Amino acid sequence: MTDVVSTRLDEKEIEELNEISERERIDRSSLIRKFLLAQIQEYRLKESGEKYRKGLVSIAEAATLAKVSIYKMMEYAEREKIQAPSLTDPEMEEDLKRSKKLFEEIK
Amino acid sequence: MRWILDACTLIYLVKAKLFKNFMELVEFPVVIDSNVYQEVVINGKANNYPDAIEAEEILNENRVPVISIDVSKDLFRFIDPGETSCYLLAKEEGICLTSDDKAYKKFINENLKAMRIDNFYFEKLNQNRLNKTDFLIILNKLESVNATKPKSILFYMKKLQEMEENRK
Repeated sequence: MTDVVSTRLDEKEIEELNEISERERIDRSSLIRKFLLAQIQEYRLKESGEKYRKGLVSIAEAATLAKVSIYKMMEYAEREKIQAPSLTDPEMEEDLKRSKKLFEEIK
Repeated sequence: MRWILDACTLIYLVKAKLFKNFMELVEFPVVIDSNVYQEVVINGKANNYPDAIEAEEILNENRVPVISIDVSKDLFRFIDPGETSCYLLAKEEGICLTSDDKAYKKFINENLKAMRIDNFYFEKLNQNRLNKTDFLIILNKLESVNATKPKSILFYMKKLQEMEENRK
């Protein structure tokens, strides 16, 4: 189901849209829709990218929240140079001990 | 026992061209769940990601079983279906292998057996299944695809130094 959404634009913006629409050989309404959807995705990526940066979610969770594939989320994180917080040295020491113990258990 | 790969680890191993090497080092079967397969192979191919095609080929070549599991009742724990399926599979039996620190912490908090991919390789070094040079090459490859962080590499370098000093 689709619905009509109206919005006000000034003349200069409409002119710009018309120019792009002509260049891209796409009708103005489709162009606006395309831009809008791309911007919504970018907004979602930014929002979930921030959660990933703060260490609140994993990369897979960030992708699910942004409603994009995990590949897209990885690309976004790389493009925006987003890294989740690193583990602290004590955490890494603890992980090492845990991994060692796991390997001993499964021997 | 079995190793359970989550989606990001599978993608990173493929991206870093480390999957074959990984399969040579594991001593138990490697499995993935259908949600991880969906995320990595099906969705990846639908969006024209070359790594998805490579992942499909590698999974077929290595006969990695794809297990179907219903994640609907446990989705609230992880949000992502792939991670939820890793949780459910590991609850039955196995070790979740992940490159994601947050996912790792969540698995541990749920009292699951879990390991970070860089730790897996470090343990293989300790077991003499890898030499120091190969370990460092692997770390660099993992870092090049964001599967490990510079801080972790620094940590392992310190560990290697300590190991060498202890040998003296």
